[in-house]
Amino acid sequence: MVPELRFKEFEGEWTEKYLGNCIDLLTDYHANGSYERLKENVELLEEENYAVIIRTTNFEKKDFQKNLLYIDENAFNFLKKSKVYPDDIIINKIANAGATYLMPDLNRPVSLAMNLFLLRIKKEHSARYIYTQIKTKEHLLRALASGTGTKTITKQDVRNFEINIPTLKEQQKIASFLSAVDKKIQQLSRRKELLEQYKKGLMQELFFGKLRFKDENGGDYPDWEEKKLGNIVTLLKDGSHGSHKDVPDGKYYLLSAKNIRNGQINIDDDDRKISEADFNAIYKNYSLKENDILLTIVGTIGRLAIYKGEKNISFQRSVAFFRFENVYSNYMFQLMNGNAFQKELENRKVVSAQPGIYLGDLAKISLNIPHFEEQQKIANFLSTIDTKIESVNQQITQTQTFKKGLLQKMFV
Amino acid sequence: MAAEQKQKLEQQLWNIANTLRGKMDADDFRDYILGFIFYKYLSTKMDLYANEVLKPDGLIFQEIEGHADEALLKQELKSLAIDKLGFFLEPSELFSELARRGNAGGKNNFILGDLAKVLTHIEQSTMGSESEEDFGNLFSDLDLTSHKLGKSEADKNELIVKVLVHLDEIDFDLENTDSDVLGDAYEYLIGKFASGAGKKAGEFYTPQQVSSILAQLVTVGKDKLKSVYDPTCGSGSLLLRVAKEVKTVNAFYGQEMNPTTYNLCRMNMIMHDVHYKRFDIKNEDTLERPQHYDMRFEAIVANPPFSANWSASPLHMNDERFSAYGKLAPSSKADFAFVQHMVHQLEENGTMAVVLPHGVLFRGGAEGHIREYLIKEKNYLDAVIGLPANIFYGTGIPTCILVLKKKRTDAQNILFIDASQYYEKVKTQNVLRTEDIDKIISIYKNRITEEKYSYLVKTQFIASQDYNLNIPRYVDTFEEEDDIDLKTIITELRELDKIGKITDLTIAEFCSELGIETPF
Repeated sequence: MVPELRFKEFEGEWTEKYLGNCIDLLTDYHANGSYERLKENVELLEEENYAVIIRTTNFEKKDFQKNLLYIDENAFNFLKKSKVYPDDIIINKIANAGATYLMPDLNRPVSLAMNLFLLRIKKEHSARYIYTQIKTKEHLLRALASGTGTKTITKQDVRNFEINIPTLKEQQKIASFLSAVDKKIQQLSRRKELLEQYKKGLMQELFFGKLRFKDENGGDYPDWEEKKLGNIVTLLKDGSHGSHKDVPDGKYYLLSAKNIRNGQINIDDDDRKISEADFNAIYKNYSLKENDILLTIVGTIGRLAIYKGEKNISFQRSVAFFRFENVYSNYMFQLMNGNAFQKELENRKVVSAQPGIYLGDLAKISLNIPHFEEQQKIANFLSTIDTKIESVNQQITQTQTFKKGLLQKMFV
Repeated sequence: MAAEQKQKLEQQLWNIANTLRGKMDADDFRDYILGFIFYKYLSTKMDLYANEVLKPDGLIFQEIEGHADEALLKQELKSLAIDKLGFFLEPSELFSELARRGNAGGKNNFILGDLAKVLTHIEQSTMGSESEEDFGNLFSDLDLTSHKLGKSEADKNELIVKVLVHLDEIDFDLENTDSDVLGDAYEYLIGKFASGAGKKAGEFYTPQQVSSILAQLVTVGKDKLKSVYDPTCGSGSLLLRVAKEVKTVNAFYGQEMNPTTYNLCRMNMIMHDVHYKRFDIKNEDTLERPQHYDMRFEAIVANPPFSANWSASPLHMNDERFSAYGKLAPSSKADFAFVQHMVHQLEENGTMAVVLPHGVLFRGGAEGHIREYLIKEKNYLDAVIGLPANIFYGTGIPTCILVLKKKRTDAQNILFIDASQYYEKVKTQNVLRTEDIDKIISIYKNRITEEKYSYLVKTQFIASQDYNLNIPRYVDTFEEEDDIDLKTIITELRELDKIGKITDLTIAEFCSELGIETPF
C-alpha cells in the first residue's frame, strides 16, 4: 500500500494498524469518578480560573479565546485522568459523534469536558500525522455512530479504527508540510483581515477630508460642498409596491433585498419570476441604467450593489435605486458603504412590522461632496483595495483546494 | 401572595378550564369561569358581612332561615348590605350552598334553575339603589341555557356542578385583607385567555409588565391620586395596577366598548375591593360617544387598540377634543384620536401615559401634523419610551409609550428612552424583567442621558427633525467602529508579507521534493 504522491526519499509499503495500537491513552471525563463524585468536586465557572475545561463548542467554532469555561485547581487535580495537552487528539462521542479535533497549545492547564474522548498518541508516531490521517477518513469514523436517539461511538469503535502508517520520519515530514500549508492559509486570512481594516481606516480619513489627494499640478482640489442626497440624484425610486403573480418558468425576475449581497446582485434560479406584462408595468415610468446604485431599504438595511446592466430583472420595494448627476457613481457606492453613511441609515430606520427607511427621508441625508476628479481618485483607490481583498480571498480558497488535493494524494 | 400558593391556584383554575375545554371557545369558557368566580366572591363577601352584623345577636347567617324573626332579620340585613356591599344574597343563595346541593350524596342534582334565579336576583337586589348601574346585567354573559354547555339539560347541569365543586375547593382567603387571591386568579384567567382574542380589532391584553410601567409613570412623586381614568379600559387591569402604585386612589373611571369585557371590568373592580361608589365604568365607544366628557383626571393610562379604524367623521372637527389641531387622525389609524381624547380629559396637573405602535412616532400626513401641534403649540410631550418588540400576546409589533403632561417641569427638553434591547426571551415571547422596568422608571424620574439608552433632547432640535420622533434619531445605538491607526496596519501587513515569503519558500521546497510545482 503506497500513496500516489510521496516524498522521494521514502520507499516501502505503509502498514495498516488499528488506532488502538498507536495510542498510550484513550479516556474521557467520566473516567475520573462516579457522577456524584464528579458533581461534588467539579464546578464549571464562567469567570477566569486555574484551568480551561475544553468543550466541543470550542472546537466547532475554532474559538479558544472567548466563550471558555474554567475550573479551579482542586477540580483540575480531581480530573487528573483527563488532563489535555497540546497535540492530543479529541474525538466527539455524542451527537456529532466521530468529529475529530487536534488540541492547540493554549499555554495553560486544560482539562476535558464531557462528551469527548481524549487520545494520546505514542511517541513512536507523529500525533499531527495521525490526526490528519483520521481526518481524511473521518466519514468512516462518523459512520460507526449508532443508537436510537442520540448517536454515539464507543471506545471500542475508536480502538478498532484502521489507519495506514508509514515510518515515523515520513509521518513527520508529511505533517510538517501540511502545517506549512495551514500556516499559509492562516497568513492569507490575516492578510485579508488587515486589508479590510486598512480600507476602513482609509475611508475614515478620505471621506472626511483628513487625507486629501492633489490635482495633476500638485495643487489642492476645491473645497467640498455640502449637499442633500435628494439634490444630487436624477433618479431616486424604490422597486415595485404591487403584488405580482408568480410565473415559475418565466424569464423575468422579481428580486428583493436578499439578492443584494457582497456588493453585487446575486440571482438564483429559485428567485421569483413574473410575467412580461407585470415586468413591463414595473418599468413603465423608468428604467435602470448601468452604474445606477441599488440600496436595500427594508429588512436588512444598507446593503449596496452597482447595476451592471443585468437583463430582465426587476425589484420589489425593499430595494431603492439611485442615479447621480455630476457625482461619480463609484464614489457614492464607496461612500454609502462607509460607516458614517450606514449610521445615517440606522438613525432613519423606522420599525413597524419590519424595519425600513422612507425614500423622502433618505433624500434629506446631507453629504460633503468633493470635486469630481477628487471623487474619482478616492473611489478608484478604494476599488483597487477591494480588488486586492478579493484576490487574497480567492487565494485563500485556492490554497484550501490545494490542501484538499494534497490530502487525497498523500494518504491511503 | 406567595409564589407557590399562586402557582397552586393557577393550576386549579387551569384544571377547571380543562373541564370546559373542548365544549367551547377559550373566550366563552373564560366568561363562565370568571362569572362563577365572581358569584363565589359575592357569596363569601355576603356571608362574612352578615356574620359580622349578626355577631352581637349570637347568630350566623346560615341560621336565620327558619328563625322566628326571619323576615325582620332579612329585611334589616338586606338594607345594610345594599348600602355597604351594593347587593344582597339570601343564605340559600350562597355559592357554597348551591355547590353542596348540586353534589349532595355524590350525585348530580338539578340546580341549573336555581342558579339562574340567584344570578338574576343578585342583579335585581340592587334595583333602585345607588349601586344599580354597577351591578346591572353583570351576569349577562353567563348564559346557563346555552347549548355550548351540553345537549340536554342534564348534561348542562352536570358540567356546571363540576365547575362549581372545583371552585368551591379554592379558598379565596377573603378574611385576610392583604391577600388578593381572587384578584390574581382573575388576572390570570383574563391574561391566559386574552392571548388569542381581539387580534382582528388590534386589541391586545396589556402584559402586566407594561401595565406596571404605565402605572409607575403616571404616579411618579405621588402617593395619592384623586382620580385615574382609562378610556379603553378593557377588563380594568391597568386601572387596578395604578392603584397598586400609590397608597390611595379616590376614584376609578373607565370606558370600554365591548360589553363582555365591560362586565369583566366591573367584576374585576368589585373583586379588588373597589367599592361600587368609587368606580364609574361605562360601556360605549370612547371616540364616538365619550362618557366622561366634562370631567378631568389626574392620571390617565391607556393601551388603545393598535391602529384601529374609526369614523374620522368631519363632525368631529367641532368637537373640543379634536378641533384645535386642525386635522383628524386618519380613519384607518385611530392612534392619535385616542391621544387627543386623553389630552382633553387630562387635568392641568395630571400625567398621562399611553402605549402605541411605533408608527405614531414617524408617520407623516395628519398624524405628523397632530404630533407637531402637541409639541410645538402645546409642549405637552414629556417622554418617548421605545419598548422591545414581541412583548404583547399575539403580536410581534414593536411598541412605544408616550408620556404627556400639561405642565411640564423640564419644558425645554423631551426625554427619549430606547429600552428595546433590555428584555428576557421566554419561549416565543419577550418579557421585561423587574430590573428592565426599574431602569426605565429611574431614567424617567431623573431625566438623565445614558449612552445607548436615553437622551434628553432639546425641543428645538426635534423641530429641526420635522417633529419626527423616531427613537434612533435621538438615542444613538449604532456601534461605532474604532478609529483605525493606518500606520500599525501598514506595518503589520509588511511584516506579514515578509514571513509569508518564508512560508512560501518552505512550501516550495516540500513541493520540489514531491516533484510537483509550488503554487506560491
